[in-house]
Amino acid sequence: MGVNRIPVIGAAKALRNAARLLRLGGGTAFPGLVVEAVAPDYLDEWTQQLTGGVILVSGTNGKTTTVRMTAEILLRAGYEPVSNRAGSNLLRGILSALVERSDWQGRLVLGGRGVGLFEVDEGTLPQMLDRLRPHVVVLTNLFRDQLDRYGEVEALARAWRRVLAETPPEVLIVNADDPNLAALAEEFPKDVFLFGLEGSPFTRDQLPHAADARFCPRCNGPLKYDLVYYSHLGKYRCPDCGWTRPVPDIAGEIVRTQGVENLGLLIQFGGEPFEVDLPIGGTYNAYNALAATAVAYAYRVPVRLVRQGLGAFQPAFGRQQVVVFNRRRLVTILVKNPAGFNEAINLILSDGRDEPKNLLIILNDRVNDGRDISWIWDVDFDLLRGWVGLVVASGLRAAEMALRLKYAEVAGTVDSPEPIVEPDIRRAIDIAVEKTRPGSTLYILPTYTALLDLQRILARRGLTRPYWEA
Amino acid sequence: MELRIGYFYPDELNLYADRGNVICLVQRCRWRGIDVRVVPVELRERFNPDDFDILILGGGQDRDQRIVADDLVEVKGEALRSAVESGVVVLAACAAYQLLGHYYQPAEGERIRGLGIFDAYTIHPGPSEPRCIGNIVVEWQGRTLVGFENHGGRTVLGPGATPLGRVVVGFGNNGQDGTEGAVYKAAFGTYMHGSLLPKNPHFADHLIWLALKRRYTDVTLAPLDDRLELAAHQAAVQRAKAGG
Repeated sequence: MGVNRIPVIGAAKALRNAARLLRLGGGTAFPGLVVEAVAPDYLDEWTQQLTGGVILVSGTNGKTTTVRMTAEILLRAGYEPVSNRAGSNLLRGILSALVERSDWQGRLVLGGRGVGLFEVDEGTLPQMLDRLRPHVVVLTNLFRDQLDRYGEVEALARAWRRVLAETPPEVLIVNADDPNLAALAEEFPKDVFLFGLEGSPFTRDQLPHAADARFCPRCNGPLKYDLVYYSHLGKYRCPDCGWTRPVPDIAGEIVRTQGVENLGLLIQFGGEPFEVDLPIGGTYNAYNALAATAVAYAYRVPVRLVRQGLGAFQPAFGRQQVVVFNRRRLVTILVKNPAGFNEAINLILSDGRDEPKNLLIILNDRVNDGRDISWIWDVDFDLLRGWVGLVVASGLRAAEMALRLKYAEVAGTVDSPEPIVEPDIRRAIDIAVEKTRPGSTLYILPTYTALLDLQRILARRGLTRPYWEA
Repeated sequence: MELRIGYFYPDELNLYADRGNVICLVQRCRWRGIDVRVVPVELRERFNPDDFDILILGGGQDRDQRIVADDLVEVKGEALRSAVESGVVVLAACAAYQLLGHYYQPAEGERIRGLGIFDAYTIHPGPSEPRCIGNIVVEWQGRTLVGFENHGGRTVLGPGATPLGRVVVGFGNNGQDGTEGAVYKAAFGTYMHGSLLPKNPHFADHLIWLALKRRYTDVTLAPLDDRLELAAHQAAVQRAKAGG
């Protein structure tokens, strides 16, 4: 190694502090960028210090929440997880997390047995597998998302399959209810743990519009779904070749649900089933909890600790965290793609609150949002028709967001409220909060960069901790 | 008055929210009191060209494009050609646009035969050439059309094809000759995928008007309040010009 460790890590740490002082977006990726450029080999030294191995979580939706749930469990089992911040899921984000947890000489300072628990961008998973040589890889799901960046779902699945065969982790954890992923797991040469749902009050008997797995990954025949939990996740089978959804090792059943407040989940792996209550809602979070449980299974964590960990979990900002602001409840749900947005709508409609729904939707089209916003036309906004009291559309593409709601007759038509179009996020928040009655709920649905903007704005108003602490 | 829309391959060619075009046509008819019906035309299904006034075809994943290509040529080819010849309005975006040309040559594998409705062919130059991705602004009949394109294939128009418009910002057919899309009779092919029509209400109305004019005499479309549509149009044009 040509570069001395101390100056580089020291410089990276100093840069992080400087970036924070200057409020340069928390400096979350900045130090990592420095290490990546100057001394990329440090990664290997760090991973050697992580004696509990490295866990990578990838997939379209659920990465951040799965990582947070897993961390709560592993902490209780004597591990000390090192995680990258929500959304900083490229190599530089991981390096930044390691800089953060190192002393000035690049030694990780940990209270327990170190585990790298990183969320990884689905497009860079192949590269990360090679660089990080993880012990466990978790694949949550695969939906169409940012087609301008990631390309098509099937092309991504092919890339994953290739690299998982070349550099297999010891354990692969996969969502059995996603046909593309279940097929991928079948060919995997080492241990596979499957998780899946075995019951939920929210099921449908056919695929929604624009589902991404209509064909059998084995024979290309059209898949039949006996049950759909959400998007294309469900109980499928192929009438042509006989392939069916495999039986999950970690099975869950949603037994209770109330909006974003509560999700009661019955989980079974190995022995006796156990129940856990999560302070969030949505079928997708049931899947996240099952994925975290599967990691615990791989690490042989006792059921008791899994239950404690999931019970202690708290959602991150933008992932259904509820905050009170000016006597209004603000519930922020990140929306990135049709599958996630449809679930957010279901969640809002099932919140059990007897009041018209107040919505602030913030649609940006920067690179990290996906520059193509066509996908909003694949979201089933019609479901909101007649339920909405307030619509504020904001962000760089505020007008098209409002237009989408007009064509769904949710706002801007004869029997619906007039949408307020305010591209400036700061002003949009003020308007939306003011027009939401005290005691009522305002749902804020931002795309990724809009979430960061929103968080900065709310933090400046003393509301939530900045996102680098979240 | 009534309008009958055939929505082709809604399960296969829906990658880029092409449903937005269907929703737009339906609502703009309904808001004017025009009866409108949408009939899905699925894989392996034959159709009668006399049953429709507008046909909508969109983009799909590579595998779906192959499945659809065979079906389009073998099962629906004759009817589609006769529909176009008799002036039925067709809007074919992205993959469907490519399949309405003579052929599509993928980066790997065999050439996919198209319908030859447009005198055009498409070649994918392989992974070494970047895809054409981004916001696109096109000049069409003295006005602008704005959309998003995302395609690997480059389309070259033959002497028998008329481009839909000229590229102002973006790549269009091939990133070289400044043309975007193709028009033949009332058939429109374009790389502007997904939700093209909602933010281009003048183009949406042009399609509705063409379709009604074929069946009814004396067609005038009542004006709609398009302030939101035009605001969305302007925002998209601005983002395109800013390189966003």
